[in-house]
Amino acid sequence: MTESDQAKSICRHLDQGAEQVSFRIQSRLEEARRRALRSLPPVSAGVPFAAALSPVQVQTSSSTSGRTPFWWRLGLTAAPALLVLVGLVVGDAMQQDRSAEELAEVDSALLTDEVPLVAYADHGFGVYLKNTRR
Amino acid sequence: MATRQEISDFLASVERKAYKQALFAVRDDEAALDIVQDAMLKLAEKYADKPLGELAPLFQRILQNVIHDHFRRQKVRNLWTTLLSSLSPDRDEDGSEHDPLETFHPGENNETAENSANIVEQNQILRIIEAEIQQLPTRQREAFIMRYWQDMDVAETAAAMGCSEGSVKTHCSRATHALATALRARGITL
Repeated sequence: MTESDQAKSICRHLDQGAEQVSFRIQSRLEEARRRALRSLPPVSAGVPFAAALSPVQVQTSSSTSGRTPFWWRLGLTAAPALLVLVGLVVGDAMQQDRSAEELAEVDSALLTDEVPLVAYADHGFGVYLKNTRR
Repeated sequence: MATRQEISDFLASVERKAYKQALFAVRDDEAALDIVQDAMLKLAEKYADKPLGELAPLFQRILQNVIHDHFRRQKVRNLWTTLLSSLSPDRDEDGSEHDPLETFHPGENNETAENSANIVEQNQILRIIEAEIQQLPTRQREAFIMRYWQDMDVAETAAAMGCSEGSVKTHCSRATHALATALRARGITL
């Protein structure tokens, strides 16, 4: 018996063993196969990749594979950051306007008040105001 | 490029042998099933656009890589286990001999058959052969299974194993002789 014959004889037994796998193993293998098939790329479902794309699509994709997609991608990436930056600048300007208006209101209230301005610098008047607030 | 149906048929045709092949290597049902599933997923995700004829050697190569990855992970895990739990030494992990009787499963409902004795004998021979294959050195087992059981030619086997064709022939020859000798010693004639 040659080496090849011996190997083939052993493999016949191994074939028999592979056929005898339990139902549990068989089910698990079928499930694994189904999962693998689900993970196939969508275009490979019976249609070759090249055939899945029409000539127009192929031409379009090849012609747009240069600069435009890069700029699009750059724009799409930078747009959110730009929006945030603009929002911060506008918010800061609005906050400054608001604080300036508040200061102007305080100034005008002080100037139009009947109490003279020097009274607010007086320590006793400050204590009086605090006590009357309570 | 293979269609979905062709890939399905291909996987169905190789899954049992792949499972057995992984089982011979890792000796653990669950790990072998995980390995086959990983190999199938990798083939489907990355090589679905390959022609049908290239799938078999590709799948073998993926399977071998997944098996090697399994051993690599196991090695790291064992290292950490040894380092972190020196109080509880591994008893069954690596040190113990593999007993073929542990994997022996008598055939279901065969006792009523008239030729049950023959079937039992065949099963026993099969378990012994499988146990002997598990005892082979890793490279010899890989070469033998791919070359003879998976019907791959020498060049495909060499490509899948990442070695020369001469090495494949040597591994196959040594594996066949070792198996024949071991089986003869157990009174089994092929």
